[in-house]
Amino acid sequence: MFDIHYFLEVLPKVFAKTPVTLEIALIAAFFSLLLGMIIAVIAYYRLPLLYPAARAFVSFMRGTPIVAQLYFFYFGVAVYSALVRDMTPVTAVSLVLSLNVGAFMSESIRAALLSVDDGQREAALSLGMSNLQIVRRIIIPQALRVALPPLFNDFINLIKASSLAFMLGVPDIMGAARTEGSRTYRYFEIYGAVMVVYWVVITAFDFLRKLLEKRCAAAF
Amino acid sequence: MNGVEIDSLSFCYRDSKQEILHEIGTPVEAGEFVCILGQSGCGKSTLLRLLAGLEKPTGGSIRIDGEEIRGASLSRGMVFQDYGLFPWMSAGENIVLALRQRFPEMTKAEKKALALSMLEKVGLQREIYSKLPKSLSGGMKQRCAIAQAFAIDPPILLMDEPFGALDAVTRAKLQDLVLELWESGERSRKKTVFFVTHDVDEAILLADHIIVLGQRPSRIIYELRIPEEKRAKRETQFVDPEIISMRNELIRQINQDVEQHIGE
Repeated sequence: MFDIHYFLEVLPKVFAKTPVTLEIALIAAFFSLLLGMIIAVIAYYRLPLLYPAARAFVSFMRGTPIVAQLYFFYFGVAVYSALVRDMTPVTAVSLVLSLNVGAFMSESIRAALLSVDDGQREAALSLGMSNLQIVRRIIIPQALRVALPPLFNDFINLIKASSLAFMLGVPDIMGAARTEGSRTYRYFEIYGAVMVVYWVVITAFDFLRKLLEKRCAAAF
Repeated sequence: MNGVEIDSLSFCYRDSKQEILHEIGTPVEAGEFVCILGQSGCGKSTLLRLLAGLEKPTGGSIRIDGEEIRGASLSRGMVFQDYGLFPWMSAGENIVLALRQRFPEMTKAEKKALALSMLEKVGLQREIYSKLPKSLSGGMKQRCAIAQAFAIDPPILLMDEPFGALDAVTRAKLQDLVLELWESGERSRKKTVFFVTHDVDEAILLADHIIVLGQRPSRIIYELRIPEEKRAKRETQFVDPEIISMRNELIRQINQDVEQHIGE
């Protein structure tokens, strides 16, 4: 039977590990956004050499499961690399997630860049703007609005994907649940609580997104 | 100054063999109001884009005061049919952005004051300054675009069917406005204007130099210079026999070209 007392007891225990999950998610969000922007710009301008490389990277990252990437990196690459062997699990997870989600974000950003009408670029050109000025003043302000919803989607996926960290022994939300589960075997309440915590965290971020979008949408 | 020499200008897009423009050549004097007239898809806009420096000619050249143009420039202001205003900035901010490009030495207050006075000049109220383009009517948007173009005061003004999407009344008002601004030319000498249109009557009303472009590939099939004293006036445009015969001739030339290409 569902034990509401145990559920309420385990809920704060699991929730207490949210900072670990958020640490991984936010670090990875920062670097994946950075990587995503770089790849998107490479794809947008079709830079020679870099473009095919970026495409191969994106295709690979999107076409293989995160778990496999994580294991391959943390256990596979570690066989040959002392650097990876010395890495803390949090760093390793953040790194793999950055690469993976960065690939997804690059597509979201690229689509947003393409959504800016060429006519505006030309209008800006005839106002005597340089290419750099056009990117900064015309393309980014508009692409940002378009990119926001899909980027938030990527970010939500990132938060959830960070739950894989427990497989490397990181004591995040899922890690806490596993510890608790091996003690009490009350998986129904424990993983119920885990889902509630993730849901609350993601809903909180989603509220932030709505605020941001509202502010950005004014012009359109 | 600001005479424009278009010299056997040809153009085709990089990945196509089809020539869009074929050896177009005409001298344009400083201060002329040139209307580029022709059917849809005949290359009028392409010619304007070449003049703007947004495309590179594949043959021939465009020279301004003897100097070949290279890329887009503030000295050739452009009024587009739509994209003129950036949608996330207010009407006033759009004008200020252009001023910032043109007069970097101006203070913020000066730029704002000039933008406001330009809005007034094109018949808009000061409140429009803080309105976003989406909240303005088509006519108001084009007034803003014209205000912006005249604010940066380019010696050459390029207008790509600027009134194509407006209703007849608004269109007539804006035609008068453009003529008024062009004729006054108070802040500098008269601008050289290139105005693309497919409307024969609009061309007759505005231009003192009409270039008629034919189809595939586009070349000049007819050219007309109208001396100052013979310029059309709105009140007499449809009664003056001379203007009417001019109009008939223009239409005849266009139709002749169209017929030649039917069934191609």
